[in-house]
Amino acid sequence: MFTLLRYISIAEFRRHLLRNVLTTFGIILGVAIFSAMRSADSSLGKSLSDTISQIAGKAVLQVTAGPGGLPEEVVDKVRGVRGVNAAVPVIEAVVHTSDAAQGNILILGVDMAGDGSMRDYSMEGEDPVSDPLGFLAQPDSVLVSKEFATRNNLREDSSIEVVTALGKKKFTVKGIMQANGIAKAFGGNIGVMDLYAAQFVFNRGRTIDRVDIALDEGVKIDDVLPQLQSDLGSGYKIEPPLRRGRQTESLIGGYSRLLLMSSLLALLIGVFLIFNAFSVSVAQRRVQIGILRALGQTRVQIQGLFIGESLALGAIGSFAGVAVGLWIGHSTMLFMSRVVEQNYGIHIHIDELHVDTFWAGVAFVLGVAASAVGAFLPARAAGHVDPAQALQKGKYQALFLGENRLRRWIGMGLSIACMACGFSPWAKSIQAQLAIFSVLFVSLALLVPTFSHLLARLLRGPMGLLFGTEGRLASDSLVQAPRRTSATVAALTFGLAFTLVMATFSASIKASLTRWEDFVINPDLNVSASESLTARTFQFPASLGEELKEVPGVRQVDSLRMLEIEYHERKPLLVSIEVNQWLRRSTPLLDEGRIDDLIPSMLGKNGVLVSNNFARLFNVKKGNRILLDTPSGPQHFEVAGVQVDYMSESGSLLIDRETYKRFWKDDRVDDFQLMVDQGYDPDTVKREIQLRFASSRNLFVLTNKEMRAEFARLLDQFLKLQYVEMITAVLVATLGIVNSLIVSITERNHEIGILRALGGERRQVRKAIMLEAVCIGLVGVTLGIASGSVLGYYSVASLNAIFNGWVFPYRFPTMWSLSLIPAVIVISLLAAWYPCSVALKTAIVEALNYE
Amino acid sequence: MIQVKNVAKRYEGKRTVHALRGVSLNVARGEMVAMMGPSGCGKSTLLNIIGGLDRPSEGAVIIDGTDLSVLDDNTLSRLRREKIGFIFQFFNLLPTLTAQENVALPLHLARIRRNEVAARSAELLKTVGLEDRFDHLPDELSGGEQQRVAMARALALQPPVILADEPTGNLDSKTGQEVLLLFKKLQEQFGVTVIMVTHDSVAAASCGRILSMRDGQLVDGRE
Repeated sequence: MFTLLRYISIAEFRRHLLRNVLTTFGIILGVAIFSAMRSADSSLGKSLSDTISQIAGKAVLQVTAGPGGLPEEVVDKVRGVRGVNAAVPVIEAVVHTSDAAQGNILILGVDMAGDGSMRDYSMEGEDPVSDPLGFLAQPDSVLVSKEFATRNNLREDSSIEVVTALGKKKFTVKGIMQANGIAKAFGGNIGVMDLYAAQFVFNRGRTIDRVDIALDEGVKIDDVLPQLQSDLGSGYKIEPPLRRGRQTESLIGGYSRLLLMSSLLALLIGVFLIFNAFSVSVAQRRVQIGILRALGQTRVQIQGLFIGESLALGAIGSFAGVAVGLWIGHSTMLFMSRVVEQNYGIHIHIDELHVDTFWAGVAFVLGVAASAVGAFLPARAAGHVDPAQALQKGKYQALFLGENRLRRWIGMGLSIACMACGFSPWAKSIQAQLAIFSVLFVSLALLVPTFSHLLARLLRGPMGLLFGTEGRLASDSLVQAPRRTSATVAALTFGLAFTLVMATFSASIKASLTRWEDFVINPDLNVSASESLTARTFQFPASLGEELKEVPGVRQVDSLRMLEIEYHERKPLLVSIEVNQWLRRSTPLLDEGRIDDLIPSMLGKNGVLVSNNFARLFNVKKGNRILLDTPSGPQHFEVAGVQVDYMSESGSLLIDRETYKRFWKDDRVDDFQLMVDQGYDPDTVKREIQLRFASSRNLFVLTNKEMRAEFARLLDQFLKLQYVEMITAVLVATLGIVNSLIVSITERNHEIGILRALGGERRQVRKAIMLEAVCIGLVGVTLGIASGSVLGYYSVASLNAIFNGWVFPYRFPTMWSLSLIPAVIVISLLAAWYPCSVALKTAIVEALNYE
Repeated sequence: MIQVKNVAKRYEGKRTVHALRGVSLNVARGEMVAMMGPSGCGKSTLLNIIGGLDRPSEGAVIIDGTDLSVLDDNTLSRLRREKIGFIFQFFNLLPTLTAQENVALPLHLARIRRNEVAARSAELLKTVGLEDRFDHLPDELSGGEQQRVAMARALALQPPVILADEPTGNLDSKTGQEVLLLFKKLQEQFGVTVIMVTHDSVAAASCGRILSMRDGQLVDGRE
């Protein structure tokens, strides 16, 4: 076989170089996206776990109590447990520096006296902290890493300005850490300060973020865990450091899944392109196959030749794909980390792509496998070429069947079964939904030839009417060459269907969120302690609310506190606010319950208003009781109602502020939501607030208009990945149609020669071929929109609900769909132009002799 | 009807191949001429040049007073359509079109009306004895039947000239004989001028004049 590959395949490859290169693009694209996605995933995960490990130092366990923090006294309780060697308090915050070039910096607030037992602080110079008491006494002292210092030209007694809850604060560098251990965390952008100074600067009051625990030698985690849990009580989470990174990894995983779907789509298109190209190749090389058979090659050897060629093509494509994937991996990685930061407020510092050779290998194998799968049927057909017929010029042999009734019935049966099963109660797991979605996709693929043939026949009349002879020739050609038409149409259909699924998601999400926005963004002013609405680094003291009430024009001040809590392995958002005040200005969109019943059950009581996706994810209804872990112990809450809410993918729970303070022992506030008196201009009140408080604290005031603009920006960010997916799908669809048209026009060289010999003018033949390309485009876009509508409906109504509980009302993306039609027509025309010109330039005699 | 004036054809490549060397001949209207010669003597090349499928390196071809060498591609195509019918050794039917659709193809290219196309193509197929093969694809027809479809197609627009390149070359002797008889009948019925390239002496004998070629030149012409 290698002899055949060497003598025959290489020459064939060179002869049809353009076709082979274009065919490989599908594989390259699929493998590139897969590689980029895995590398980005791997890099983000590694960076996250590296940072966690480096900061954790010798800690094998960490005690947390959610974003609300835990009281300082917990440290002593932990130290009292047998087997605990060291327990140290930690405050951790990522803050902006005033100098954008310096980037974010992770500040660790630690007990300078005792933290050396947990973390390695290798310092520069002989006296690393030249004045230890001075360090402790000055709340603005900070240690920075050597890398950060070198990059920003800092030395001892240099200052850096950081944005804190109390406004911009200058910190003085009192020591530089050598580049190992903790100093390597967060890409070197790390600073260490005294714990109490950090409590003050970050407005933590008397709380800390966590307790890091190191155990005595020989003591295992399981030996101390029960005692720790018993001594601390409920409301505290005790786990190894790396497990804390899992939640972030699962958020990244959601985006990775989308990119994975893109890569699989590109590979699927690649399979079709390979199928098409090899089908044409087999048809063109019939004589060659006949000769090889006459010389004694067996059927299996002939099949092996074509499979070998596909493997070689697949290997070249996969290799190129992995290389391209590494090249775009860096951008993908930065994009994903920015999305996670902006949407979820989680900072991941990363600047180097981690190449996971295992996944690079998997990507390579996938590409080669896709190529082999695509070439399988043509290779089988090659094995069945009758040598006697092949060697007689002028004899035709039908190598591929067109319409297939069995395939049609299987396709229809599978589609109906999928739609029926997909909405049934027993297909609730993510795996079941993804399987159903994939089978639905396959079933639609099986139906493409039937519908494409039907549409082609329907086009006959209009094409003849509108374009005369050339139109008739074009549409006749479509009907009479079903294999050629179907392969091209299939490639286009899949790409467009996928882009429509993404567009449906975007349209449905946008419609729902826009409606919800009108309800949720109703305060006149929003005063926030953090610049970002998603990343809540700082909180206000409750007393600021009273001060804000004093500002002229302020009628009502509502105190909003939001934090993630642990619930059944997810992290829904707990929201607290003064329910009676909130209901004075808001009308929640309720799926269950009545607004009139909310105050009696929630005000100062254990009533909770859950979000619609929370209700779906955890199967709760109005009247159910749910158990929540609080710092005061486990507490039961009664579901007072279910509201439409999109704040968290894991759901949200709204309780009264008094209830929150009682159980969570926390009176801090994330945002103050203000209503302005009639006759007062919100912009004027905003300026007054900024004037009054600018010098004493860092606060961000947004008017209602500004909040909506920010919301729109966040929504766009959230949908950005969908837009990237849509563009990728359009690119893939374009690749499909360009390649298929080039291959099919090349296949018709002989036919074009006959038309020309019979007196067909160049322009007549060109027009007929271009119109045929337009017909293929129209058939493809029609089927793409139809398939995309079915898949889009299913995704929004069922698949999405499984991932995050949300069922968005289905919105068909009309404008996007309509815009596809002219776009596809233009692409088809452009795709057909060049190969058509080349074919028409071929001498008639040469074309007539073209096999 | 057909004048060939000092036509030469060269193929430039690793070495120059002289396919035709200064060939001149005249064919009168209604005449049936056979061109014979060993393989590679240039007879198919000459036929292609006469039919406008290829252009000579030197010389001229005049058909019905029109010099092919001065025509642009579109005009040449139209001339091919209206004045010349081709019959090939390997039929060159479009594999995805039925017998009737293949015959109708030149009529469509000439923008003849649909109902007239249908009627004319059906009539031509009847003339060649294929009235029960209208909707058969080429791979469902025998070699002789395919060649008859090709003949019907060549006569679709009633061209004054038919050029046939080895019309019986791909047929068994019996079928070839049948095709030749039909060919002769059609030639008389439609009064066309025929130039036939052939190895078949029986086919050549059915023609009024036989031209011999060797090494790109005409060497003999006999009645």
